[in-house]
Amino acid sequence: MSEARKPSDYKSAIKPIWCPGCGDYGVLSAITRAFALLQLAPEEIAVISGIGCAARIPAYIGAYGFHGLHGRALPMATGLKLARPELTVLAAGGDGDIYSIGGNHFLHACRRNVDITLLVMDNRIYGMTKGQPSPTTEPDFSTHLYPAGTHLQPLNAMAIALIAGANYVARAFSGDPNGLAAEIAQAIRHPGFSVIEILSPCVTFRPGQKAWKRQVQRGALTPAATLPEALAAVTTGPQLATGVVWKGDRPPYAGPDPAAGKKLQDLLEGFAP
Amino acid sequence: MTERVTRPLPHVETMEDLLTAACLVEEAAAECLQSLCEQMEVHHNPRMSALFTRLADMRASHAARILAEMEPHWRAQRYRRDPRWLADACPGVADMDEAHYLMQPAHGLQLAARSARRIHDFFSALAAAMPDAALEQRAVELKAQVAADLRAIEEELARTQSPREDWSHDDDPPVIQA
Ligand SMILES: Cc1ncc(C[n+]2csc(CCOP(=O)(O)OP(=O)(O)O)c2C)c(N)n1
Ligand code: SF4
Ligand SMILES: [Mg+2]
Repeated sequence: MSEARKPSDYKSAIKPIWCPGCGDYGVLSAITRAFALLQLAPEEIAVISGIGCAARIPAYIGAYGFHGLHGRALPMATGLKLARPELTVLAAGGDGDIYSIGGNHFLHACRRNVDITLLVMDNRIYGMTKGQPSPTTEPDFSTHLYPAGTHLQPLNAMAIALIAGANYVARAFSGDPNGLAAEIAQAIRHPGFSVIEILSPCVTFRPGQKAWKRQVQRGALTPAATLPEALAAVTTGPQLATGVVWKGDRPPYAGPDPAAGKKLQDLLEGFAP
Repeated sequence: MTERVTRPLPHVETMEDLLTAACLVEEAAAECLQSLCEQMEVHHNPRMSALFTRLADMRASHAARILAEMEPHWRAQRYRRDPRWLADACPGVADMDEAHYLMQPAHGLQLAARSARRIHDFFSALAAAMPDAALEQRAVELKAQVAADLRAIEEELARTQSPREDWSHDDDPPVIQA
């Protein structure tokens, strides 16, 4: 039997420049373990991101990757998956990248349900730009820009993902790379748009998040039988609960039927002078 | 770390299960220490980078020995198991969030000692739960090996200067102070 691919086979030669201790190291480790678990060929994987500390992750993975524009991981990943359905496509980014500037794309990616796995490294802050509040920052968290807190209600992105139509919704913790790896592998296998919100501490601008390793309630979320039950779990349940809350069965969108419409070549010819 | 929540031990019935668990634990520990080494290299702390390389090599050499003992198809299968089979929080995974760009050797040794202690406790619990004498003996050997590492790390820690109270002070900090 040929030697199996190891997690380290999915790392690139580029060394991460995240702050020492950043939760995103655990996410990188978990992604490589998930790929090894599925024994995916590196040339059959593409990891697409926008901008932010979290969004640097494709550079550190030994597969195809694209580090694109802030907020635009999902439209790029959608286009790629529709054009190259045989690829395993992951989109990755931070809470600012995906929920703030990329919020509109997040809604429509859930609605379209293309077979992509989205990993959101949620540290409830804009890490890369030195600590501005993000859509998930707690209302009373004081930053240098908002010394008394924003007093704004944080976005419940998991609830939004459920309502907007995501086919698989889970929360995980970067401090548990084994559990996270298993969840990422499951999400990749599950057809349609999968969202994993990963609690990934920013040790530099949110050092208090180091306490998450004592506070997360591992496995407290379990797949709900109905959408209202899933919604109840993520709205009224503990906010640091991890686990899969929804495994839907909506058929994924794979693009227009090529037989029904014009082929790309016809369209190109239509534009030709 | 004691504060970590750990799930029940993996279900071990065969030598393949035991060696797979041991190998995955040692590999995870080596991977974390290697990552810490790279973090220190990138953040211009060469002393800590060298220390973490040495500590990573210690764990990686155990993983290599265990691998050599495994049948080729066991080796090939080890990453195909659901990672949660091993344990909720893999005992080899270090407390990565304690890394700091100005950290000192004592911090690195404390971190490595905690990781080694968790691995020791894991092998110890496994040894007590083995279904037969051969498996129990191999688990006890694994435990003894990591106990020797732990002693060596603790001895080095005892010889190492404690960090000054202001070890993390930076005249030009990267974080804007509130
Ligand atoms: C169009 C555009 N607007 C703003 C920025 C500045 N910017 C870079 S990263 C970022 C937010 C990053 O936060 P998040 O996505 O949470 O990632 P983190 O750094 O916390 O991992 C912002 C606003 C940009 N690069 N491009
Ligand atoms: S600023 Fe925060 S999110 Fe960015 S690398 Fe540092 S710890 Fe990670
Ligand atoms: Mg963020």
